[in-house]
Amino acid sequence: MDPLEERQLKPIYAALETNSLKSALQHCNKLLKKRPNWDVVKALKALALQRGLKTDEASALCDEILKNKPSDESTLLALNLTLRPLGRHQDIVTLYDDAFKRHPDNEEIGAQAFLAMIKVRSWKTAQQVGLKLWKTVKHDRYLYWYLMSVTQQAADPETPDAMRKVLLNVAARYLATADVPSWVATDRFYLHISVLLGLDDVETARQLMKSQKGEELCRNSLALEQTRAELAQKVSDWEGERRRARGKIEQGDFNWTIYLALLDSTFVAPPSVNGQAVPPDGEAEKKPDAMEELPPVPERVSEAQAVFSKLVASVGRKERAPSLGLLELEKRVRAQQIASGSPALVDQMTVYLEKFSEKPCCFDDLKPYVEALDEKELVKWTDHLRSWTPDVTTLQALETTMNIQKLLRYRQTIEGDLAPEKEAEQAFAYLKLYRDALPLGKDLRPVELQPADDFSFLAAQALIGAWSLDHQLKYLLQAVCVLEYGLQKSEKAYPLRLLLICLYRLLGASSLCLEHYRATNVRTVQHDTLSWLVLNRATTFSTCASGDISYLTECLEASAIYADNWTETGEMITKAFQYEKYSQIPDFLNFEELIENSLQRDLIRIEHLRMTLTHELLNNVEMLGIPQEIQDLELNLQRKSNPDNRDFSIIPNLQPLGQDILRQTELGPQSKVAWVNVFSKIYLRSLRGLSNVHIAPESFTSSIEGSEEFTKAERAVITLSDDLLEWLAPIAALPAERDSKAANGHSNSTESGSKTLFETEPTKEVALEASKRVTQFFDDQWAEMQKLVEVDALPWEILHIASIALEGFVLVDLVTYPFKVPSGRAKKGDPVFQSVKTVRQHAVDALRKFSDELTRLSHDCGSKPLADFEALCAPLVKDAEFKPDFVHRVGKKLFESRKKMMEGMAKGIVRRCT
Amino acid sequence: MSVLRPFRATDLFRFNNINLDPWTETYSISFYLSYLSRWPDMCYVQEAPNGRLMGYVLGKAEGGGQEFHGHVTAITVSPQYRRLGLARGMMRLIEQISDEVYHAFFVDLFVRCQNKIAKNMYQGLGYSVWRRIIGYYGTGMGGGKDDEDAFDMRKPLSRDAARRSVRANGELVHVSAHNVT
Ligand SMILES: CC(C)(COP(=O)(O)OP(=O)(O)OC[C@H]1O[C@@H](n2cnc3c(N)ncnc32)[C@H](O)[C@@H]1OP(=O)(O)O)[C@@H](O)C(=O)NCCC(=O)NCCS
Repeated sequence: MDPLEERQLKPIYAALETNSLKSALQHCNKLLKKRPNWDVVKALKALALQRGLKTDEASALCDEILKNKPSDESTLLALNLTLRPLGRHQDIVTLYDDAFKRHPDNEEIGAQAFLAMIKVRSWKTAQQVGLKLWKTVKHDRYLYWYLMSVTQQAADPETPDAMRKVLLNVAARYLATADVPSWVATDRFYLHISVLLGLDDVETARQLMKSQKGEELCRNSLALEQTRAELAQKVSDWEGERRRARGKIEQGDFNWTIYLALLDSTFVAPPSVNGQAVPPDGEAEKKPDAMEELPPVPERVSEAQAVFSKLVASVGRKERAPSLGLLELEKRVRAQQIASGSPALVDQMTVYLEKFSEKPCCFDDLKPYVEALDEKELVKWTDHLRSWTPDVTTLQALETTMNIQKLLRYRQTIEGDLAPEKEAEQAFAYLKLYRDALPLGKDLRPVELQPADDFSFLAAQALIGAWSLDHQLKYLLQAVCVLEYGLQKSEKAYPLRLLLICLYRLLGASSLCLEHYRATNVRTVQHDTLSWLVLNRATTFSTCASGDISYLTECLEASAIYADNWTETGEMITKAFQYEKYSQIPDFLNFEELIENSLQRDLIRIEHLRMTLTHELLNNVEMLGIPQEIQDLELNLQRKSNPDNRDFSIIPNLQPLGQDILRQTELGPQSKVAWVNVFSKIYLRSLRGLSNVHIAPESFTSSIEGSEEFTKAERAVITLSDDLLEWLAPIAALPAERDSKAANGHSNSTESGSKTLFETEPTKEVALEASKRVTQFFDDQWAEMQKLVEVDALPWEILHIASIALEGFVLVDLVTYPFKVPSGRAKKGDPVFQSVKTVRQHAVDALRKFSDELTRLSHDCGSKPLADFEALCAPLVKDAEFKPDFVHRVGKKLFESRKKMMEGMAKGIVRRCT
Repeated sequence: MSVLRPFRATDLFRFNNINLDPWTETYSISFYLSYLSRWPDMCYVQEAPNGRLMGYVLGKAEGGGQEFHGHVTAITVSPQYRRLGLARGMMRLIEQISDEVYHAFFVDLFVRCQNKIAKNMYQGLGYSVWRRIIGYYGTGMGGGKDDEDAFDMRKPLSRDAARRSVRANGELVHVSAHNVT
């Protein structure tokens, strides 16, 4: 670029730098006036527009420039920066690819072309560009870029096997003849090995690993060390692995990976065919390198035993690995019924417990072994646990007691049937320990965890256990008090807070759920893994008085991560190429896709749409952004995979074996892919109908028959959606000029050659029959609601029915919207048109009843139920020294929140249905 | 006793039990991936036999000339798994890699002056205070100055034979956060 041009552009760059978009645009326009086709200025203008969120204008301008096939670096860069946030990655590829073809010696352009291709996973073209770069620029980095794209294409399941082999063979040849060996950098070496592994050339890979350089690299790379071990297993070099592991363990390596390597190689069956190694996948191998023979299993077992025992004696309590090694050894010995002559598992567990009972993780350590005990041993084990007297006078004693209590609870079921009273009794015993232990943490700051926290967690879980057995509300309410109490003492005890959120959801205190959720300060990627805590079936709680959009906001905040992932992870993939960290690239690519296709993302999307539609009147159709919603729903349905990244382990399960605290406290069955699919389809067809696009009706009712992801009410609304289609879609779908016939029910659309949408002709009778089922839906939900109120169901169940009834109305609204006023298609006085009016009126009337009932229920949140609450929680005051006014405060907050919820929903329903 | 292995991008899906902790921050995706994209050999996790993550460390190598050093950016262990020697094991590995792979002169780290447990631990591991960085942590946790300031602690590696990265009275050397990268 000549200096004059550069000077002219300077103010634009400066303005963009400081984000003064207006000024940038002015400068651009000024220059463009003189020279309308100056690409770089146009590109900078597009960038300024894009940054100012004038997406459409920016996009259109980009199209103009792209037509000129620009190839100067400044234009390319500006376009790249504009197109990226617009998601137009394919255009970036074409742009750079064309430019590179014209300037094959320009490294920067080539590199950008390559990276753009990676972003769209175009491995094939990336390979070509990578090779070309390597050959022209002569920098080895580009050989490895090429190799990286080869391994990615080879790993793609869509690549045919023959093609895979060819690609990898060519790659291996390049590697074998390269001037600079791959071991100059760990990650190049890693990639080299990956290519060989792709070819199943285990021998060459092993030789590389065993070379002096290879060994050196392994020493300082756990990643390579792992690959080395996998290679050894592939050729069944078990004896080599066994010796290596034993050596490392004896030298004081406590990494459990090494222990597992020793354990695995101790129990592996000797290679079968006359001493020849047979790889686990049964594939025939080339002749393995000289490998040592495995000694008989009992000999290996006693060797491992000796190694572990010796270490146990020397490390004392400092390290758990050797002790746990012994337990694992014994467990496997039993599973394989080998005589080992060692003490019984239960006795070894006792020793372990005595040694490590002061470590909080002792319970988790022992769990798998408790599960392995037979009945007789279990009795012995339990007796042993019982023989310890609970003691919480010191921190050490507290940890021990905590472990013993958790272990006892874990196998409580052997005590015979779990009875609610017993669970409650147990809860109060935990509470006593909690209270007695609290003084140990009295000097800690509020942000620090109290050592006694887990006793209150245990107590809450036991109370929830009691409740799940006989559904007496008192247990649930007591659990709430216990958790609130624990949080008052230890505000950062997140397991208490998260469990409390679950309980508040069950109890319909939705504002408290959000309050506590926000207090956990969920950030960035945690939105994907943790937002299920408040957003699962959140439509249940989102309907409220106008102005309250907290759940809608929460959805948007949680969704920001999906946009961030797309830019941030993408950039980091580029970085990993630039820094040549090839070992990371497959992980990064995978990570990007896991978030991009996340199930939780789609669940939030659907909840957000349901919330919006139950919130906004259809008159505001513009505001609803229907085309975007349709696009998003289509995306949901097009995903090849829908990974579930939700972290359900975040609330530790302290229930007896076979019970699960999450199952006990969640709202309905867990929704997964089937749920996302059906709801996406329901809204897709309803929204499309709104813009007069019709698809052949598909029955979802039958498609979800075997699925366990839906509540009863959700099933009903799905059937409703089917019925709605049967009722109106055939008529709605008819071309406008033919509809007088259609309305008479005698239409035959094939007559005039127009497309047949349905195999059978719509008849008035069928349509009217379906309309009856539609009205029936509202009657059924109302009956269900009354039943629930009568049996004092949990508030969430009542809110759920009400929100599903409202959703039913929304679906009716969407489908009947085009028929609201008489048109060519449905004439006044026509029975079908009449049925629209009748059904709508019926739905509105039904929802009014829901609204009235919710208002009535909201009055029930006053002082009388608060008194009941206090009475139900009285045992906490009497037996656990809770202050009455603490219980009162908890109850008051709970009822205030619920009242707000019920009132808000009552109002929200009326607002939506008028 | 635990599996000590490289930190992987997908571990971000599973580190909640560690990060829901007042002393531990959760950063953007680019923060974690920028470490992995440059210093994957300075980033590790400790994993329990049942697959749960127990703790992790993120580190880097930086500085020029005799200032070239390994830096521990974050080290944290879930409350349930503390006092098992996990932090010790991760620090040892970071020191080994800083020494043998990067040939750095020392390893350093910043710790809230208020964080007595961590500070004592580092001292036990051979680190000493090099300087006090004023206002390093923008917002404290209600503990006043000691909460906002950081100690820069260093431990010499084999290449720092003269032990230049150790000085007496480092606690009295104050620098402003603006002068520290
Ligand atoms: C600081 C922290 C990482 C220590 O992790 P850890 O795995 O428990 O530490 P280790 O078990 O390896 O402890 C090593 C030594 O440090 C000392 N130490 C660690 N925690 C201690 C404590 N709570 N009290 C007293 N000494 C302690 C001990 O000397 C210990 O050796 P020992 O157990 O043989 O006596 C952990 O407490 C933590 O995650 N805290 C929150 C995050 C944080 O503060 N990070 C540091 C930011 S710079």
